[in-house]
Amino acid sequence: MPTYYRGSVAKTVVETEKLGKRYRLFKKPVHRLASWLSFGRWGRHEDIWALRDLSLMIQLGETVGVIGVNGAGKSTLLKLISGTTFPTTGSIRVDGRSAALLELGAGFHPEFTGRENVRLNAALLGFNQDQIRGKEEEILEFSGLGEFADRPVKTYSSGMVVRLGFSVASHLDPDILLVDEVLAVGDEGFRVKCLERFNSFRESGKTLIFVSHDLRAVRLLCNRVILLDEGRMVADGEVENVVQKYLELVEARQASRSIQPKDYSKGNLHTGTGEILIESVYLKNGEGETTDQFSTGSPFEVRIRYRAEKDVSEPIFMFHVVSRDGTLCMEVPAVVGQSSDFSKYGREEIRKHLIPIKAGETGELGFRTSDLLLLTGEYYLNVYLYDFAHFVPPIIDEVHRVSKFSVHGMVSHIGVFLHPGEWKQIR
Amino acid sequence: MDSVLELWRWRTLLVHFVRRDLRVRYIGSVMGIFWSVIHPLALLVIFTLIFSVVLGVRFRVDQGGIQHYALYLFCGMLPWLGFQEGVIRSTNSLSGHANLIKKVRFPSSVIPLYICVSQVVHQLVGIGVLLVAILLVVRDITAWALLLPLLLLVQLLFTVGLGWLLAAGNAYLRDLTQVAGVGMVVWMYLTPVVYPMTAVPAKFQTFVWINPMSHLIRAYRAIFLDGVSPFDSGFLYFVVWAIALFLLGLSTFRLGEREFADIL
Repeated sequence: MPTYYRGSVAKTVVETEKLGKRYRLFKKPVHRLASWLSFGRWGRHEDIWALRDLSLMIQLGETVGVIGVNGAGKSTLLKLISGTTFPTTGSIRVDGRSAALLELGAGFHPEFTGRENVRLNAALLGFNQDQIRGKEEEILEFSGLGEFADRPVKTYSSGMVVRLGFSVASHLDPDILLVDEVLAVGDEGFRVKCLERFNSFRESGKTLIFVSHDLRAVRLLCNRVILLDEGRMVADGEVENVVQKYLELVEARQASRSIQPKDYSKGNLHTGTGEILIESVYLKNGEGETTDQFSTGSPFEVRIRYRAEKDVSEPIFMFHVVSRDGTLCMEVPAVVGQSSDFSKYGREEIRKHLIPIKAGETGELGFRTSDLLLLTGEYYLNVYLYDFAHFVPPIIDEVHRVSKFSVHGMVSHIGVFLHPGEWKQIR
Repeated sequence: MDSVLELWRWRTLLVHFVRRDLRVRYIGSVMGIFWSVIHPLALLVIFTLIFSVVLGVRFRVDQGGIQHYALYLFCGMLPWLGFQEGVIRSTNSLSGHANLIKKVRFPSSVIPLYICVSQVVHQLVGIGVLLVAILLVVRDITAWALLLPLLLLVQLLFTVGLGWLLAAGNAYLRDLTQVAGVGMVVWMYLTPVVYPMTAVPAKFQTFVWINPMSHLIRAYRAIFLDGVSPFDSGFLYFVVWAIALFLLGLSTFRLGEREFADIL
């Protein structure tokens, strides 16, 4: 038991006792029926324990980070706390109203305006008419949507959707705020606003539970971190210690990987809907050799191989470059034949450029730059594949922390990258 | 009982859902609300043509000629369509809201309920047309027509009860969508919607009587066309069915509710 909240008059807001969650995957729906009719005796299935034997207590006012590699059970824990899913074994007790930021934009209807969606979303969170009316302006104000507030949500960018969803969930005065990786979306300005919001939330003595891959945000916000691995809690306590354990864990997993294209499609690294699988990710240098050593200012190429199980009309690939400590350095979306900078296109514009992938197809995408901006350090890639045909694009497949590579630049340069630009004397 | 109270606590959400559902129907369509009139009207014209003109069927109620048959048909068609669409849409409603059910904690029993409520509101437009037609053709309406809200309420209980049952079942077994589609068509022809109860041969009368929907349709015709009291043993039988189905549907749905987020 960590000691840092002893001494204060602690009130437990979340308490779990040997909490476990099993997902039962049936090969075919008929097997589920068979299992149902026979009280579980028949029906071929595979049991997946997303969470096992988890006992923990969270006190009022704590800001708890939950970290772990993909599939560790972080989101399942959040869902159990938020009450959208129920435990298979053990028990969970939550005291007070929780609002989950994992549902950002989930209740939005694209044909309706932001304002109308705010009202429905608030009703979904259990608020009555008066409470909704009282908060509406404040929520729209915070979202910074301006005149977009009265336009249909289908005209919004995905960042705007998240901003609106965040505003709703965080303004409705929950006792426990559950946050799942939302800071990954939205621009830096809004990110800062979110962090401020979390901070004031924390200062008002409420509880914040925060799931993230972004170790920088975890370090900034949390005073306690829980590390999950394969559904079990492997560490719980002071931030730096647990983060360090996490990095070691990741490092150990990485050690077995080579620089050669590696087939990810057979491992259990995958989450997502699975219509298309990312088979391998590898890197090439200016000479076209596969390598993991690069230098600042030299050519750099990312290759992604995929294999499609089903048709997807609007697939969009995207990779993140993540530094060793987990800082997201950049996000590079892929619209084939276009520059990676599509901040200037709207959602509909992007959709026009996406090329459908048919079932059975295999393919390879390459992103090339002749001038790598990253400075000295070790980096990883996270590769994502989304289905952009949906309003809130679901993840088809993702692989995390692959293709570890080193960049060698001038030793005197510190930071993530050297920004191109010019200095001049103004006066 | 707890379940009913919980639904009451979430009434704000219900209202928002109903409002949204009604608006979604008409957003982007030029004719808007007229579609809810045109659908039953189209069926009405077809049935009137087939039965009265082509087949030359003459039912006993049909003393007044073709206009009366049309009214008779329309009066039965409106509640039937409301019921049928409510049930079919409910059956499929959970997969349509899977994203919401997985991510937001709220009683998903609200979903079939809002669909059925919206369907009843929708049906009111058709009833408005019916009333205008009655005033034009028959020029006579009695105070019994004021019982409409009662009929709507009982109809709603019956519809949503069945809707909950099928929606919950459909989460486990998607085939129910197809079953409901076919079942409702068969059921309609087993119910005196396009023909009067009296036209059924005596030996089949019992079957028609057992079918609860027969009595709902009859009650609508009683208050609007015949101008008489709808209360008789048949109507009571329907009310009992409606309440039983409502409670059975809700409790069955609640049994599955904890699992929906995991299996959808």
